[in-house]
Amino acid sequence: MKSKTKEYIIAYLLIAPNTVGVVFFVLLPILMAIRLSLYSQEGFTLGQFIGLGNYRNLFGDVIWWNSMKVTFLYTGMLLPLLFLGSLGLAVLANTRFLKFQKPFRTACFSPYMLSMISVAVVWMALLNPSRGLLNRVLSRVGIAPSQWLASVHTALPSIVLINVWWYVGYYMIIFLGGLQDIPQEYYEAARIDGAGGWKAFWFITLPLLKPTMAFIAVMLTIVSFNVFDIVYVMTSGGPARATHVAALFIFRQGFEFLRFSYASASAVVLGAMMLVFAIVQLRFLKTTYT
Amino acid sequence: MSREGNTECSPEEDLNVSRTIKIILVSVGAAMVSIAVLLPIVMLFSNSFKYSKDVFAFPPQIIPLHPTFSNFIDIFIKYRFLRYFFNSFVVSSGVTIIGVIVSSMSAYSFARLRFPGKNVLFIGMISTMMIPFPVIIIPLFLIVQRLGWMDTYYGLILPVTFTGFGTFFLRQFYITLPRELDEAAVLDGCSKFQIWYHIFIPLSRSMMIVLGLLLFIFRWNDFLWALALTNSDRMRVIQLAIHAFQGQYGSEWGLMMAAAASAAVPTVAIFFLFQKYIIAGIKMTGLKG
Repeated sequence: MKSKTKEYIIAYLLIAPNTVGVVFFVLLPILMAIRLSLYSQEGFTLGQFIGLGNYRNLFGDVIWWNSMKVTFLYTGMLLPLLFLGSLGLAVLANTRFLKFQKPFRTACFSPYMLSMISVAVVWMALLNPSRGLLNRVLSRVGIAPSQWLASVHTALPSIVLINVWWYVGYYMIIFLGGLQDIPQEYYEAARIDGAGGWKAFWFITLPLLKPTMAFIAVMLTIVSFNVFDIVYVMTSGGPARATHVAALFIFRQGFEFLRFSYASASAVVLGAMMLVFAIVQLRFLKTTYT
Repeated sequence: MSREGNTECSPEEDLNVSRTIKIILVSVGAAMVSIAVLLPIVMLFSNSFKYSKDVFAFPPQIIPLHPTFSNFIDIFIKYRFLRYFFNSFVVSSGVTIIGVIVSSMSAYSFARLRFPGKNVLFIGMISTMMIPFPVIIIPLFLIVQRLGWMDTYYGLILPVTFTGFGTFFLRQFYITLPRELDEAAVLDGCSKFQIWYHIFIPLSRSMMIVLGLLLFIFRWNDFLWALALTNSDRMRVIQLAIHAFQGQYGSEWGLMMAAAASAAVPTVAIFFLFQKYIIAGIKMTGLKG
């Protein structure tokens, strides 16, 4: 046997377990979701081929549009806060004026280690309108207490805030990695030329951070569009569907109403949107560099 | 690693006053942020040692005035959380062990070997990582149902073990290893497989540990798949157990806090013990390449 063929065989054998797993448990479901969405569904059988019928129904579904609105609102609030917050914290952590970088980094990162349920329990207690710590402190300071998760207007922002607290440390670490890759000599050269502080940040740090920023922006978009479990546990999409995000819509249609085809159609739409956003974002970020 | 400067002062910072002010401002700011971020976690652990009626006492007691272990005893014995911990442990370990082994094999092959279709397969694998889980959960559920794996360890472990993440992660590291190592081994008569087993594995031990830790933590904290797959109390994992518990005993805040705190202990402990590894691993996912 030729040694090249032997190398091919070993190569395929090595990637086989993982690849077979991915094909069977990821690729196959994707294809199934698409197929399922093109059929009507009668109980647990596939039903008839109805082409874009499910999608047409989805288009006219008020609750779906509401989910889209909620999801967009959520992402619109979360992205800037998390992006700028983690960038700011990373810059703060990296500055030479901070003498306790490691403990600071650890402190910011610790919420990430909690599971969603633990985060939910903690914050439901903190945000309890009558007894929670946050309202107690606010009223002591003279600010009117809020209903937080219980009110239609503040429920979604509350979820946003909780997620900012939860994830800011994680994204800070990624930014920190990018910051620390910037050679010190650049800053020294800038300082010698008389440009310190803000100028250095604008002309050295930001341009060199572009790859990291691009990566984080795309990650954040995908992650916030798919938010599910914390909403499911804390508000179940309420009050009055104020927090009824798209992923919750899909889950409900599939697992509570057992409308598998319809749920698949909405899942395909969500997935397609993700793909489009990711591609558009990457293109946009690529052109702003060059 | 570079910080924004070193201890040498440049001309315009000869003034110790200006420098000291900056240090103080930065330190105070950072301290305030740290306290704000840590406070909820501190309250979580502190509340778990309080009787339910003391949890909402105001002013809040960071150190409980009437501490008790009763919450933990109740949770683990009376409410069978030991079983739920066991389930979480089995599932997370299973995913971790299988995932690390399988990813290491796959990553080595993509990093070092040449074979037809290599690029297509690799890009395909990476793109599957971008598909969000809610999109595939329903078909995956139906597949697993047909396999007869509902409410079993198999169903909890296998369908979620195979992703492109581990392969991507380890390959990033493998491509940094010098090819001279491979060449020396070939001269010694090693087959490609032996190169992987005797050279790459030992060298990448710390990266494999990082991957293992990340996989373990991610699976330990998972909620959605376990929610979809299990319905018996016997197979419940800790995250679901707390949620179910909340439905019944949600107003007994002492118990809730103890349950939530206990569920967090393994991941917090892992983080504190392996901080360096985990942080290095996270940074690596952000590097281009």
